[in-house]
Amino acid sequence: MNETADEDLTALLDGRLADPQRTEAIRRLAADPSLQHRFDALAQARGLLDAAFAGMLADAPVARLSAALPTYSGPRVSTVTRARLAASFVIATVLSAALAAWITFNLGNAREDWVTAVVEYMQLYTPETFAGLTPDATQEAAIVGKIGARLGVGVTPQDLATPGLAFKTAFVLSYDGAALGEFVFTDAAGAPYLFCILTEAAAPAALRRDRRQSFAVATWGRRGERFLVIGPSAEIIRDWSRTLASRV
Amino acid sequence: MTSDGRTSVRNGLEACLPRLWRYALVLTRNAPDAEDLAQATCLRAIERAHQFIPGTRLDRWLFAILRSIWLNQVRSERVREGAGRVDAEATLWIDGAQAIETNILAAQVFKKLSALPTAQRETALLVYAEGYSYAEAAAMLGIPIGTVMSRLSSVRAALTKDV
Repeated sequence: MNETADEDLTALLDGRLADPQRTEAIRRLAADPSLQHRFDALAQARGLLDAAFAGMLADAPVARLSAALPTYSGPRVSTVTRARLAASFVIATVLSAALAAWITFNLGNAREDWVTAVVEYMQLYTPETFAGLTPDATQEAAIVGKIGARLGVGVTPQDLATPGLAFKTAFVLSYDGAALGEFVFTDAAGAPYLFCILTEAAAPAALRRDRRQSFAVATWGRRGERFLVIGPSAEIIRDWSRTLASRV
Repeated sequence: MTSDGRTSVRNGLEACLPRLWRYALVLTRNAPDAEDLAQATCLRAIERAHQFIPGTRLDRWLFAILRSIWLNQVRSERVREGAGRVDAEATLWIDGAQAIETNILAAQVFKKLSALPTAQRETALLVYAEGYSYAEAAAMLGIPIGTVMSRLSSVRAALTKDV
């Protein structure tokens, strides 16, 4: 397979190959099994890339970057040195902390924003994002146990299991300084479903279902943790949230 | 319009932080450097917020700033080292792979990605993760569309090996 053919196949996969090259490529694929094999291999790479890029996004030190955001003070004419920036960061951080404390004190619902943050992440996932991930039972137990331990929540694969969803991976994000665990599952069509745990001091909250964007959402909480499940099917979210609320 | 531009940047910057950091990581392959680059981008964006045109895409404006800062850093390194070339390819980004150590396959993909030339990683990120069209990526990177196609096919081909 030469490089030019790979470029055509890639453009075809990306929906960027125009006629007459597109028609010709499709004709050649139908007539040449080895070319079809190559096409399938190149297609699989997209799922790997999506998973890798999603993983990077999940690793982003959002809390530190947010804390370092300077307050806006109008256009600057000179280049700001790192030392001067450090001083402004300290001032900005103190002001931000004071403001955050005031907002937390005055707006009890402000932490609901973490649901919005998860919804925004959810919108970035596609059926291909986690397609390349197929952990076996041993790997699943290790991943679930490790992430649960990081969150201080005892969970097993059996606790999280629900009919129709397969475990893919789990990781820990940071939301406003609090650990946010995401356990990722997909349905038979590859659509992602998340079970999220935010560890923070919070008042207990009863199970509540909602709709955000195109996703069904269920939230509940107890002292020390907030829980969220999200996914496209309202039925699955309803059943899964009931199960998780009783097991975890 | 100027005031609206500042408001748009101020209100939209925080939501773009994870993606800015990811772009920075793809360029630098090093988590601490990526954080520095993302922070420098935020500072520059706030300094130049009055130049942002409301109604246009803030994320792409920020990406252009990030890329400009990174290119300037690379040029500065070249001048400082006097070697005419920065061996960025010799640096492995470890942090991302370690952070997802629970996932062996993802770690393998990270390793393969880190071994690719920066231009290929960057093009793949823009098109596959950020949704740039071939033409938009070509315009952003200042290269012909054919080069975009070539880079993307090279990335896909590299990832099909041994994973």
